[in-house]
Amino acid sequence: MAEDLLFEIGTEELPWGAVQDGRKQLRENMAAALERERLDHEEISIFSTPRRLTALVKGLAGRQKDIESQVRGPSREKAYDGEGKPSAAAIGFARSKGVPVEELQIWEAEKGEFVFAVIREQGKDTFRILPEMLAELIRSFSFKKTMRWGEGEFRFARPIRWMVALYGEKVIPLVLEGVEAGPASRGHRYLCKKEVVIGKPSDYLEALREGCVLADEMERRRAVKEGVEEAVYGKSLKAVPSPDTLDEVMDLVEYPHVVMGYFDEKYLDLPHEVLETAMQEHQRYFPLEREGGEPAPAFLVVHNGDTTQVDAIRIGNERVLRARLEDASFFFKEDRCISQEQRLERLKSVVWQAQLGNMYEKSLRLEDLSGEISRLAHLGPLVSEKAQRAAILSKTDLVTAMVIEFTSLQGVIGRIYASLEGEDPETAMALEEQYRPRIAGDSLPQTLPGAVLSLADKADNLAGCFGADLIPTGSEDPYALRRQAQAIMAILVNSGMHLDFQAILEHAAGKFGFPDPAAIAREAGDFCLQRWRQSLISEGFSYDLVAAVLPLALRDPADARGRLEAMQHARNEGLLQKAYTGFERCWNLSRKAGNHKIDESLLVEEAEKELYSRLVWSQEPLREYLDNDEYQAALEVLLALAPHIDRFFEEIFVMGDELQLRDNRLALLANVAGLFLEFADFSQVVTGE
Amino acid sequence: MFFQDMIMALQSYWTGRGCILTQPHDVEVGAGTFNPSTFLKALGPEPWKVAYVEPSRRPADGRYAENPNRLHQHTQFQVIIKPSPDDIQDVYLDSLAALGINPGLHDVRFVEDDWESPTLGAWGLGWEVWLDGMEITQFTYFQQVGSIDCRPVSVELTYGMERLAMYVQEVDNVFDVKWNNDLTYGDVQRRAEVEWSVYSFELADTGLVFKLFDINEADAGRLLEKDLVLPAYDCVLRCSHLFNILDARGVISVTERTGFIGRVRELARAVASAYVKQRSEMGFPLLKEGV
Repeated sequence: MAEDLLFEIGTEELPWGAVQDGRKQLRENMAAALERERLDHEEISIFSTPRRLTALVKGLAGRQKDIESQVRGPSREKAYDGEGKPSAAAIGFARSKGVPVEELQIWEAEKGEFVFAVIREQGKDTFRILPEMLAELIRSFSFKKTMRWGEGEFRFARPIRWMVALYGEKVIPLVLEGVEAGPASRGHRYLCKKEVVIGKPSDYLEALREGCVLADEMERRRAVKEGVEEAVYGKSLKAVPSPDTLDEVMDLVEYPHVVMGYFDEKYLDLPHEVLETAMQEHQRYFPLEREGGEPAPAFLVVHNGDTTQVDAIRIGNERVLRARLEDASFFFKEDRCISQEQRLERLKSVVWQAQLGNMYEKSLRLEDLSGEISRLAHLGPLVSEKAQRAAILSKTDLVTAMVIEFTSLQGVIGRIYASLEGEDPETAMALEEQYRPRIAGDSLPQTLPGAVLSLADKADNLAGCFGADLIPTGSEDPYALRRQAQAIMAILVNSGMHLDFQAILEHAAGKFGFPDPAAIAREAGDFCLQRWRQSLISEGFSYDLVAAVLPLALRDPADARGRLEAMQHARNEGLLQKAYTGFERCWNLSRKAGNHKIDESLLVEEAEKELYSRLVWSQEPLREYLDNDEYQAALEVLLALAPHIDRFFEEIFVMGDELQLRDNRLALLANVAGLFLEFADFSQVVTGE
Repeated sequence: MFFQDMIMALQSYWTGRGCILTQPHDVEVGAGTFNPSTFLKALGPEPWKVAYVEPSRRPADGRYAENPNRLHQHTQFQVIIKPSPDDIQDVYLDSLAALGINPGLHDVRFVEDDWESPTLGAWGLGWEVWLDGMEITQFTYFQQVGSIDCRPVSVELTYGMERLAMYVQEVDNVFDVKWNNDLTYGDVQRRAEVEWSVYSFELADTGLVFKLFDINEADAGRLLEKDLVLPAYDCVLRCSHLFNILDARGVISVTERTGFIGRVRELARAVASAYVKQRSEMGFPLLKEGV
């Protein structure tokens, strides 16, 4: 008979990440274990709090499914004599498979008739399987960081202190690291002093609710939402937690209760980002906004517990925040007494990397590199000027008290201080945007000076690290060069900037005074190409099309991507086949051609004259479309050549006896193939489909 | 509750739970973890339960007594229990009650914190304990000390006494904390904060400090060769503190930092293995039941 299964792992407070990973793994591993054990079941629900990871499996079958397998034995002729009596081979086979010889079956197989043993394995009782299955399940967790505790060797994210394991109303015998599973869970650490005994699995949520624990994350979310609404009701305030803070807070409490606290209006003079960081990142509070979107001198804290004693909690949290904001005000005032130029001077004592000089030197290099990028990408003097000014200021916030204290605001503080000191808005914005994208999928620089500075910073990092042999190996990438290589492509494509990045890398390497900047740029460039290749493929582009544009990718990444998109589009529309076949026929033959010069007077047949005139006619539009980033149209020019290529091959035998004509035809084909190669390296394309 | 009464309450609470009470170490340290009662005793199989106060110096954190929350020297109350007991969280929470803090009436939370001391080659997992949003205790299960795996695992509880006192006494400035009925924290400590800030940020003779670092490093090596674990360890502590002074003076670049930390860690590792070897040769005398 089917029963419900409840399995709760009770722990000391798990980190937020471990709760998230734990939930996911518990769901996947439980489903996999039940599948492996051939146990039918209904819905699996996963619950969690900082102190527990729980799986509730509805309608878990009382017994494993039986299995039946067929094993092939000797052929019919070998198994039975003329009178149909089983031979020694058949008897031996039956014995080895544990079936009576008279139950052997004769079935048609690929090479004639064979005997088969049908083996039936009866499913075991679920209750007998569960102890080992659950023990294995606990061992299958993998967390980013694990620990041992007491005298044990077992590892988990935090110590395991109790387990509930029930199948129906029966306790599953299970002992792990001295912890014995039972029917008793634990309620809220402070609000429920008794054990919470679970009668049967379906009672779980309700029993815990009585123990002041909301084990269902969605239920906690609702409670927080209601608590927030209640707290701001009638106050014209809006809670604006970041999604990360909201998610994290849900997994930091078992019994959420929302409390509002206040701080002095004077702290609103601090940069808003500082207020937000102090509240969210340091304290996990929800900041509040007034109706106009301006920050309000108030916050919400989701506390874990009682609803009656909120004053002490409010006052305590207010005091903590006040201390942090007082600190921040002190730093702000202190920083404002120092000019950008003084900060720049101080960067001389901030080492970037021992072999690669200090941050002052880096700022100078970035200034130069920003100018070079602006020049090569034809961005004009205004962008160049702003980007270069931003470059020289780019690292000055590293020596501010604010960034030393609020490290996550690096770049943001640079932008704020530059604005306060009257820098151009785009210059100031570039200071923040230089670090974007911080992670894959993060927003990209929106201003051109920001894009230029971000590229300059990354080119300098890559060239410097490759020159100093600080190259990522395996999983080690201390300078995050892989991420930066990907970011470069993303920025170039997004900004639509046409930039020879190989030249920029070489220029950057030259600035360090390395002996062979070209070689370093090649190595760093290849590194970028490999990263780009992977990210394009994971975006869904075909690997052979990526290979076809990759040689162009460093010289003009945005352009390479445009060509790739056009080819991928053509392939998805089923149009690429035509172009591919045409190219391939020309390419295969013409690779043997020596001289590629066409003598028009030697073109005698109609089909070759036609192909030649189409070729000549196509060259100009193709190049023009490519220059104007109209990749689709450019590709269509090539597609339009296809029928003429087909006619050529239908009507003309290229490898004729007359050498002069033959060579001229090969030259024609080489030129046609050459036109395709102007678009992309079609020889890398594996198939048109 | 006065500052000194809080210390006495914790001493009485933890000695009541079987800890021996020891005194601060007499070499400058940055945290109670550096005291040999923690660093060395967390190594090897012998059980250990201890509580002590540790005045902890952080040269870079001095603020000339001008900042209400920052100190060059703060007071840690340190508890080490090996192996870590199963009910240690509850026992810890009861200790807050000894300070007049009823966890049921406040928001006491265990907030993830991965503790690491690169100079000691030590790390552990645990939490910062938050009392209504304020960090009051560092709670760590040691996994490695002196680059040696901890077996069994010790639990370390480090109470930040000034913060706790500010909370309990409801004051916003650490210098207003009442030491006893007559004297404030400021009366007792303010001048020291000013002088040590001047020393750490302005007047420490960096040439001399660099030299002292080298001398102590060399001496640690010499003493280790003679199997004098404890004297060698004091040299390591001096190196660590001298490095902190240089760091506060801003004369160590980011990369040099890594180098200095590496040198101290290497000494700490050598002392740790010498200690384990020594205890092993002594037959781990604190394993009274025998293994």
